[in-house]
Amino acid sequence: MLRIIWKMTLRRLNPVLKNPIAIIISMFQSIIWLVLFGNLFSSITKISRFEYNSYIAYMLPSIIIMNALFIGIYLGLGTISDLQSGVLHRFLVAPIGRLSIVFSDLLYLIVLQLIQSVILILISLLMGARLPLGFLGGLLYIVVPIIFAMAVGSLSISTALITKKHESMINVMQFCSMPLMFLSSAFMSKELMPKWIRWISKINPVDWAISLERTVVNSQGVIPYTIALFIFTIVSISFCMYSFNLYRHSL
Amino acid sequence: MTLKQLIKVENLKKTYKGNIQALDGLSFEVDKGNIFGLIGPNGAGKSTAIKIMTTLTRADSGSVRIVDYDVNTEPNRIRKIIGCVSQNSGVFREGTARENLILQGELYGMNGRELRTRVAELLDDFGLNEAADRIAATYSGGMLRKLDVALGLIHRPQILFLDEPTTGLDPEARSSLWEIILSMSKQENVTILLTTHYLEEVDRLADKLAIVNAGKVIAEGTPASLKQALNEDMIHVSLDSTAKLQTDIIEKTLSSLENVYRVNIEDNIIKLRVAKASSTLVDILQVFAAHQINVLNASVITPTIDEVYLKYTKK
Repeated sequence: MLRIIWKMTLRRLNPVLKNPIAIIISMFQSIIWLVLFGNLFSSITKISRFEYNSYIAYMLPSIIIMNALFIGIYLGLGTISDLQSGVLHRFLVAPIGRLSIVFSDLLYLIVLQLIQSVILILISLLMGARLPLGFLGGLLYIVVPIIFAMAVGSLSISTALITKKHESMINVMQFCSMPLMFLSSAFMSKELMPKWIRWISKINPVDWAISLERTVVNSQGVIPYTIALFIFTIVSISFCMYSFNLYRHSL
Repeated sequence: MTLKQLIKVENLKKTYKGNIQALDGLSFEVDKGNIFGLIGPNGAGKSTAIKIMTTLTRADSGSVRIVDYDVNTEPNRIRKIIGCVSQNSGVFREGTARENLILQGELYGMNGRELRTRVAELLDDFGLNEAADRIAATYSGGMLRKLDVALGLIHRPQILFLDEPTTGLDPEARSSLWEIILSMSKQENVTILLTTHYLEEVDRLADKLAIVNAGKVIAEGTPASLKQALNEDMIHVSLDSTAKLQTDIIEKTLSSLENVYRVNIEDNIIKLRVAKASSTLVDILQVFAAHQINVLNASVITPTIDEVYLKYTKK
């Protein structure tokens, strides 16, 4: 089964391997935000106590999570294409199981996010940011977004199976991505947030992931955030498997 | 004990949201080695039936046994021995024929040299060698269909489901596709179940067929037996153009003949709907002789599946 999962992952990876520029293009927004926002708001660090050496260093974990959010949501578009082209049906009639279909997509996401996390870290290092906790911090900035991407990717596949239309997926992206990012400590520290945003951020998985990454400077809450993130991921993947049943039922 | 009926469908019922009853007690059986045709109007339930038989979805009630495995309790065993070519292609366009075939083989547990050989063999049999390493987005409709069928056959299934395999293809592509399907299925001993709107295909190719309407089988049998059951042939008689016809008298006389259902006279061509054409033809010709009318030629036209189909599906 592992062999089959790997081969199916390769199907998703092949276009990217044949044309590596696609990796940069799909993370272009993240790069722009990191570089432009990072520089534009560089004086923010003077307003309050930011435990990072620069605003870019502060934004890096957020941008990596934003990247994971975007590519996670995009995953569902691939499912919709497969659904509309008949490829998904072919896979469902083969003796391979939903697990292979879902995990191969998630593995593709893991590879992509891994590469993109590294690129974003390198860019911020080039711009003078310093990683708190050094190598260990870097590791956190790689592992957490991967887990987060898997959760978002699973939900995206579920949405694809339930809505079955490209437009619906794109609407979900429009409505969810920016609110999720701004209702978290992505760009502003919790103390400086209005109370209502702080409250919403408590139930926002984006914030859990970012806060987990921020434990490199402030080790408060490592365990709760880790547990919350893991539960979120497991529930998302389970729901994804369940949506295959919903999809089959509607055929 | 070798199983004779590879597919046993019993009393399938399925209703979709909004109270759309797709299947209302569908039952039929397919014998090993046969080509079985499922025909019927759009919305009759054919595609739903195929989705259930190929384990893509489940019925609300009823049972389907494929090679004696139940689709609800042992779907994976069934998936290993069936192939399916659905109405819309299953090819991923960003890959080549070879890539599609290799992945497909791997999904069925094939790998290594065995897989590569099998893929090369299929590319050759289906005439896809030239396009094998071009991406599928560049293929014509006929080539895509051939690739679809190759994908369905790669793992040597016992049963091949074809859901409107030739719809949308030009006549040349259609006949070429059928040639390949027939030769491959004979070679590899595949039982075929197909749905189609091209009635002359089932007429020509099916060993048995079932006409489905409103979710049920309304007629079933071999093409020959179904046509015979119609008990209706057509006889065309063309007369010498110089013959002056007393139309009413001729029409009345012919209609009064036993076994003549309907008479239609148009200029010098008489079309009759009759039973037992070979003996009725004699009676008809005798009528013309008695009236001293010169008959140029007469032909007996046996019904086609189109006529069978229309009879059963006209409301």
